[in-house]
Amino acid sequence: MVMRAAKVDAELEQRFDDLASLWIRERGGASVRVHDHPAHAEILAMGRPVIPLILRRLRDHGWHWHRLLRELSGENPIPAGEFDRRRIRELWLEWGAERGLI
Amino acid sequence: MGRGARFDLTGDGTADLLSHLAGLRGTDFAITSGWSEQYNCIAWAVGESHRWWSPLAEDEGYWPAGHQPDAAIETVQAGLAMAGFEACTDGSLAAGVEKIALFADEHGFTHVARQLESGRWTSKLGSDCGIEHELEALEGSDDSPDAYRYGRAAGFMSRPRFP
Repeated sequence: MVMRAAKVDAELEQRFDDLASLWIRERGGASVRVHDHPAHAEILAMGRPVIPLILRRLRDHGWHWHRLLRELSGENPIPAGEFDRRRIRELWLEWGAERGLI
Repeated sequence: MGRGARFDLTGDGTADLLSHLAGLRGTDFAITSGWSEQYNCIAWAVGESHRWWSPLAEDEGYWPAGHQPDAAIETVQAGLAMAGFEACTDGSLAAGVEKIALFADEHGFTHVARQLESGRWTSKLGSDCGIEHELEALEGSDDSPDAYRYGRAAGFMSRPRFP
């Protein structure tokens, strides 16, 4: 049972990594409609289990993960009018650390 | 040829600038900054590097006029007017004038480049690197489906150049 769970997690992580890399490669040069990519919807459909994977990726590589984090968690630690991505990243990582997600 | 020493700047080891922007091949360009989602082409065009600019609420960036329902080139021009730019006819070099070139494709605004005093152009490519380049070089794209595509320079704006 434990082994099966570990296998599922590994598959989830691999699928997430593949989608994240594809999204970043194809929308990395975009300044508008950054989230307009099928991978965004696919990651969203993977549900809350990917939140720790997103937080780890955000911590290590950055990227526009804050919208997905909000959509998946139903929470938003970012104050209105905050457009500094560095600060947004810090706040989401603090949010994740407080919940033991990273 | 490009003077940039390396093009793998995404932090994920996936992007190759020349595989995205075929128009840069054989032109004199240089990579001037690395990957950063801290700011984008619009911010760079107005002289900022601390926040992401976008007229669209979905991009969750700053827009001086408040978020808009679209990213049509006219919408972007209206926002950039609030940063002191006015529409002009072309990207020719003029003393004391700072010009920007707005790119668009069939879906609307895609990119904006800023003219340097030398007459060359500087761009921040979304979250990807910053480059100094020839304006026309951004109009070319690779045939691969995942290549960056900015379309064509569809409008120019200018404002006084401050030292």
